[in-house]
Amino acid sequence: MNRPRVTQFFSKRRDRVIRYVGARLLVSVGLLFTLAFCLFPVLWQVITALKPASDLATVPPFFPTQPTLDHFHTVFTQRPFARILFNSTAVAILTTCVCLLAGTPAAFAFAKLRVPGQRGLLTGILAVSMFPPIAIVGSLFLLIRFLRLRDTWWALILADTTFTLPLTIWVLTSFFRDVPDDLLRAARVDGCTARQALWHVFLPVVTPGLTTAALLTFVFAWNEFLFALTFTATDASRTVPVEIALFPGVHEMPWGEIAAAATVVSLPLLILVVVAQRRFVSGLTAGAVKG
Amino acid sequence: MRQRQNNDHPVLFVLPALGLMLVVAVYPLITTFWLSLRDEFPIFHLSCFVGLSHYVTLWNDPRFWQSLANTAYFTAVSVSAEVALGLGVALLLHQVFPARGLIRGLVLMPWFIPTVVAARLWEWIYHPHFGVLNALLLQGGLITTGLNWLGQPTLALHAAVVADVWKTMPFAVLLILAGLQTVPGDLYRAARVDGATAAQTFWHITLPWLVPAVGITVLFRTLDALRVFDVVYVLTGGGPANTTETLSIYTYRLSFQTLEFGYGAALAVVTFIIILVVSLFLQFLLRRVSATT
Amino acid sequence: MARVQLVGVGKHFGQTAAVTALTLDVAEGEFLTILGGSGCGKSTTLHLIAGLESPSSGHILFDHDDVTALSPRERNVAVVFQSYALYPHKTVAENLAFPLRMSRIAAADVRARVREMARLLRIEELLERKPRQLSGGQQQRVALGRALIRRPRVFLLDEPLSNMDARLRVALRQELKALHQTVRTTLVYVTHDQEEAMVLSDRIAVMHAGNILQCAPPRDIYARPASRAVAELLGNPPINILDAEVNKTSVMLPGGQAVPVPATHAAWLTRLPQRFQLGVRPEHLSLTAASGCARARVRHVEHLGKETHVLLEAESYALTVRTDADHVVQPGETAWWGWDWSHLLCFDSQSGARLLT
Repeated sequence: MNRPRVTQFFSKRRDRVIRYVGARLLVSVGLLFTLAFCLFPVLWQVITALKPASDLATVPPFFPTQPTLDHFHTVFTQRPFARILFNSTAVAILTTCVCLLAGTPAAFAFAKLRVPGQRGLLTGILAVSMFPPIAIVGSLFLLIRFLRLRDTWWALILADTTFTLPLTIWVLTSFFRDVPDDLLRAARVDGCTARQALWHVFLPVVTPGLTTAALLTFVFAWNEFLFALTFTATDASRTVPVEIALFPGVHEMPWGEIAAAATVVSLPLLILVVVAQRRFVSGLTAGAVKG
Repeated sequence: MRQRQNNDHPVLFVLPALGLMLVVAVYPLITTFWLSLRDEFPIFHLSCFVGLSHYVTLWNDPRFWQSLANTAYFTAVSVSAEVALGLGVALLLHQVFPARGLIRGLVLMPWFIPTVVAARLWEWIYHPHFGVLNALLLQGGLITTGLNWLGQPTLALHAAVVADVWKTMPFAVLLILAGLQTVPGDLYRAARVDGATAAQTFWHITLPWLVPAVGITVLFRTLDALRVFDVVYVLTGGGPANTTETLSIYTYRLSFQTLEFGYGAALAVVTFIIILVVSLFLQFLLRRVSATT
Repeated sequence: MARVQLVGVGKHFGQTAAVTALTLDVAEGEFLTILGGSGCGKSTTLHLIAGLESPSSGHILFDHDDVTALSPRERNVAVVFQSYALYPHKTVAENLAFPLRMSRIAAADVRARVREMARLLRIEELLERKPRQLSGGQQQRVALGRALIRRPRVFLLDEPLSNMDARLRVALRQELKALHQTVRTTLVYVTHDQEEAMVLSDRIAVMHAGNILQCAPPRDIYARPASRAVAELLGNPPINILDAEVNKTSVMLPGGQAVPVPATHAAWLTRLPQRFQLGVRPEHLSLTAASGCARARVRHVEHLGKETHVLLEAESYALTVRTDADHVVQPGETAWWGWDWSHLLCFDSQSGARLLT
C-alpha cells in the first residue's frame, strides 16, 4: 500500500483504539450479564416480598403496584420467626466458639510442633470433611436420641462440628504455617512454653485467620439443612433453613411470606459479604491453593 | 520446620479436636457400617443381624441405579457448567475496572445465601403459573404455554442443575481468580514481546497456569455435587417420579421416611465408598496433571 | 557470662546428620564466630547451645553445669535471629519487656529496665512504635535490647547482619563490637561472611558439613589454616590452589614448568610427598617485569579502585594475582609472575590437611 506514512500511522492507531474499545465493551457486557445472572433471583425475591398478595398471582406486572410490608409482618406474627432466627444465631455462634476453641490449639500444634503421627491425623481430619453427611446422619440421630439431645441446640452444634472443625483446622494450620519459625524460637528463648507462645505471640498474629475461620464456620452452621431437618422437632431448636424449607402452607404456598422470610434471612449475610468479602476470599483461597 | 521441646506436650493441643472428631465423625461412621449389616427398626425395637443381605438387595434395586445415574448426571453437568462459567467470570473479574471489590462481592452473593433459600428462590422462579421464568419466556414469544419446570421428568433435573450452578459458581470464580492472580506479570510481558495474540496468550500461558486452580475446583465441586441434598430436596423432593432423586435423597428417605435404617445405612456406606473412590481418583489425576504442566 | 563447652555433641534429623561430634570451648566473655557456608550446621550448633534443639549425643556445659536437658529460659541464653523475630503486634517497649514479664519480674522493675536498655541502645523515641515502623538498623537494636535485657549468660547471634546493605552492615558491625566491649558477655556469632568473622571475633570456628575444621584467632586461621577447606573459606579473592610435584631441586607446576626451590626452603624437597597441593594467596603473588616463576597470558583484569585483580591463564593452570591499582596490564598480554616463598602453603592431595608448619 502506498499511502502516505502519516495516514498509515493514524490507521494503525485507530485499529488499536478500536481493539481497546472493543475489549472494554466485551468486558462491560460480560460483567453486566454476570451481575444480572447472580443478582436477579435475589432481587426478584425482594420484589416478590414487597408485592401485595393480589399482585403475586399474575406476572406481569413485574413490579409491585403498591409495595407493602404485609408479608414481613405475617412472617413474624404467624410463626415465631424471631425465635427461629435466634436459634440459628445461637447455634452458629456456639458452633463457631467450639470450633475455634478446639481447632486453634490443634492447628498450632500441627503447624509448629511435632505431633506424633501428624500427617496421618491431618489427612484423617481433612478426610472427614469429605464425608457425605448422609453417611452419618442416621447414626448421629441415634446417638443424639440416646443422649437425649434431640431438639436442642447442642445436637446441631455437635453435628455441625463434624464439618466445620476440619475446615477450621485447615484454614488455621495454613495461617499458622505462614508465621515465621523464628518467632516461636524467640518466644521460647524469652521463656515461653508452647502454650504461652500460642497465647502471647501466635494468637494475636493470626487474627485474620481466626476471623476467616470464624466467618466460614458461622456461614456453614447458619446454612446447614440436613442435620437441622433431622434433629430438630419443634420451634425450640428449629433453625432458619428448616423453617424456610417447610414453610407452612395448607392449600397454596404463601409465596409472599416465603419471599419475605428469605429476604430477612439473606440480608445480614449479604451485608456481611459486601463488607468482609476480602477476608472470605483470602481465607478460602489460602487453604485451597496451598493445600 | 517444626520444633520440639520436652515440656511441649503437643498431644494435649490436639486432644480436644481429636476427641470431638472421634465422637461426632468416626463413631457415627462406624455405627453406620454396623447398622448396614443389621435390620434395624427403632420404633418397634427390632434389631437383628443380616450380614451383607442389604448390599445384595441394593445391587438388585433399580431405584438405587436410577439414583446413581441421576447423581452422576447431575454431577457431570453441574460441575462442567460451574467450571466453564467460573472460568469466564474469573477472567472478567481479573480485568481492571472501577468498584471491582464491590462487584466481586456482589458476584459472590449466591454462594452466601443459604442453600434452602436459594432453592426456594428458584422454586418461585420456576413456578408453572406464577413464575417469572415462564412469564418472561411467554412475553418474549419463545414458548406458547407455561412449562412445568419442576414437574416434568427431564426438565426437573436440569432445573435443579441450573439452581445448583447459580449457587456454587461463585466458589469456582473465587478459586480460579486466585489462581489467575498468581500468574507472574513477566510471562505476559514476554509473550507480548514475542508477538503473541490475545488468544495465543490465553491458550498457551493462562490456561496451563490455571490447571491447579481448575483442578482443585473440579475436585471440590465434584465431591459436593455427589453429596448433593439440600437444593434438590427442597426444589423437587426427589420427584417427579424419582427422576431427581439423588443418592443422598434416596438414603434420607429410606432412613427417615420408610424408616429402614439398616437398608438406608447400607446405601449410605455405598455412597461413602463411591465418593471416596472418586475423591482418590481425582486427587491422583490432579497430581499427575500438575506434575506434567 | 559463662564459659560454654560442647563435648562430643551430635545432632541428626531423621537420617541426616546436621552436626557430628562437635567439641568447642568458648571462654568467658569471648567473642567467638562460627563461620561456614549454608548447610554446614552452624545454625544448628547455635540452636543446640541455646537449647532450642536437644543434641542426639554429647553434652553442653555452661561453667561446668550440664545444661543439656535445660530449656532456653533455664539456661539464661539470649538469641538474636537473622530475621530479628520481633513480635509484630507488640510495641518496642512491650517487645523489650516480654522476656522480663515471662520471668515474672515486678512491673515497676520491668519498666525501669526497659528504660535503661532503651537508653543504652539509643532507642528511647521508638518505644511506642511497632516493629514494622522501624528501619533495619533500629529493628536490630530492638532485637539486641530484647536479648540483653535479661542479662544472659551467653549471647547468641544468628547472621544478624545478612539482610542489610553493605554500608549499613559495616556501621552495625562496629556497633556490635563496641557493645561487646561494654557488656562483655560470652558471645557466639554465626555468619557466612568471612570479613565479618575476621573483623569481629576473638576466635573463629570454621565449620563444614557438620564438623569444626579449625578453631583459632582470625590471623592464625588466615595465615596458618589447618586444611585446604579452611584456606579456601577465608580470603577474597580466594586462595589459588595448584597441583604440584616435587622434582629433585624444584617444584613442578602443572604443565611441566619447574620452579627451583631456594635454600631457605630446602626442607621441602625431603619432607613433602611427591605430589601435593600448593596454596598461594593472590596478595602473595606479583607480576614481575621479567624472570619470576613462570609466564602466563593475562586473561582478565578487574580494577577495583584500591587494587587490581589480574586473572592469569597458562596451559594447565590459572592464577588470580592481586596488585596495586597503578600496575597496568592489558588482557592478551603475556606476563611474568612470581610468588613469595615465605607465604606458601602446602596441603595433602588426599586429605587436604596442611603440611609442614
